[in-house]
Amino acid sequence: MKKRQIIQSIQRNVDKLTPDVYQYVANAPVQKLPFHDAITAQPKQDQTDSKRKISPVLRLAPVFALLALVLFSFTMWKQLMTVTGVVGLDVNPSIQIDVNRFDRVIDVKPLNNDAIPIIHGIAYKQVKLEYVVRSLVGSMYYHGYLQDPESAILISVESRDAKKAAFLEKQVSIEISELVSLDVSQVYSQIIPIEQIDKRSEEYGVSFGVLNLARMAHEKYPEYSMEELFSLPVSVLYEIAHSEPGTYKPDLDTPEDCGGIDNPCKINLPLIMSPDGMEMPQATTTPTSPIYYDDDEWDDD
Amino acid sequence: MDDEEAFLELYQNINQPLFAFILGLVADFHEAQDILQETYLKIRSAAHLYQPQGKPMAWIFTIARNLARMHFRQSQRVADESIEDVDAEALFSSELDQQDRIVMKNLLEKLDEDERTIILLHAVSGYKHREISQYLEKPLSTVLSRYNRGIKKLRKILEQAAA
Repeated sequence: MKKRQIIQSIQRNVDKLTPDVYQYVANAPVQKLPFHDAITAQPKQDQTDSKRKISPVLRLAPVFALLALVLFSFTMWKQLMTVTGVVGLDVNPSIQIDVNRFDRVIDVKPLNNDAIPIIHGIAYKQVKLEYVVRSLVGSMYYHGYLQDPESAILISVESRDAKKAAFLEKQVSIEISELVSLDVSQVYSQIIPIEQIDKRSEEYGVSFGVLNLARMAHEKYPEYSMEELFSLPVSVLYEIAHSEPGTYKPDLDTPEDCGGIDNPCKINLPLIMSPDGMEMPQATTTPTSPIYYDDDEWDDD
Repeated sequence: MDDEEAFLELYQNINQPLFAFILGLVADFHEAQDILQETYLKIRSAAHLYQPQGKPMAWIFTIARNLARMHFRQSQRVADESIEDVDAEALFSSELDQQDRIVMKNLLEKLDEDERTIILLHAVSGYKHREISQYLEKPLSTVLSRYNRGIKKLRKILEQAAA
């Protein structure tokens, strides 16, 4: 028997069986109730109203909760993924580290070919900046950099927040000074105000830190071209950029076919005249032979 | 309700669905008839107290349900006992043909109160399931599941009986 047949059968049944009680119920004497009794009681109006008023709110509560969760997640994700500070490391490899407001690393970018093997294999996503710096310095050591007592490292920091920039600069400087067996004076650092950031670093193929130093040096010594300044070792460039104008002899004599690790530029550095008349030694970024270090030395404890 | 025409109009509109509802509650023709009459009398006695809330049928069904419960208590019986007592076949033999009698007998005897009431209301009154859920103050999902379960149960019983 089909469903429709069952329904029709029920309809026929009830149609035939429903008694006609109208005459009796319409004519029977009834006493009007002064108020509802237990049988005729209606649900209270205010209860019904409150149900009507509250239920849409309650019904929407999970939606609001979900929206709040999504908004919170999005805000957190945005904070995690928004760059609030940039740290540049220049030895010969040039590396740029983007950090978020929690000082966790969002990205590590190689800015020249020498930097590519340095960052290879380093896990940095959302890792604390100090750990990433340790890994990078360790990797530089592993690849033969920072072995020379006269090698230098430039730390450049930029952030819209001056306090943040100062904090990052200090943190990275301390971290590197502790790690590298160099004279502390050869760890150079600079904070670059946001308005001085030169967006042409990619165009020149140098880091924003080196570009900033070269720009400063070029302003003092216009006779040096930017390209000539880029080819200088970090330590020398730093000294020139921070020198008093006129204390250097503009006698750069840079061979044209130099550059890179295999063929470093053997340039005649300008004489740096210290206040006591001593000439500063020439620095180079040429790495010495790679020395394999103990991995445990760089482990985070 | 003094207005006879209004009462007549109400009666004509609700008599069959109200009887179907009460029959679903008590599963007994005579008892359903008694409660039907009492329900109308209660409506007449309390109509002036009715506060319109948009669902007059819900109020009428509430009266019928309360009266049915009172009947159960007075007769010291529970619904299941009343179902076992009823001899539907004998009651309806003079009114219905063979097939319809079997359907009604099994509807009243084999289905539970919710299943009976929902199927009867839907079949007789043409109320939507959403309306039935409002009148019976049950979730729509419950009304739908009880309806489908009841129909399936009835089909199975009737198929077995036919075999």
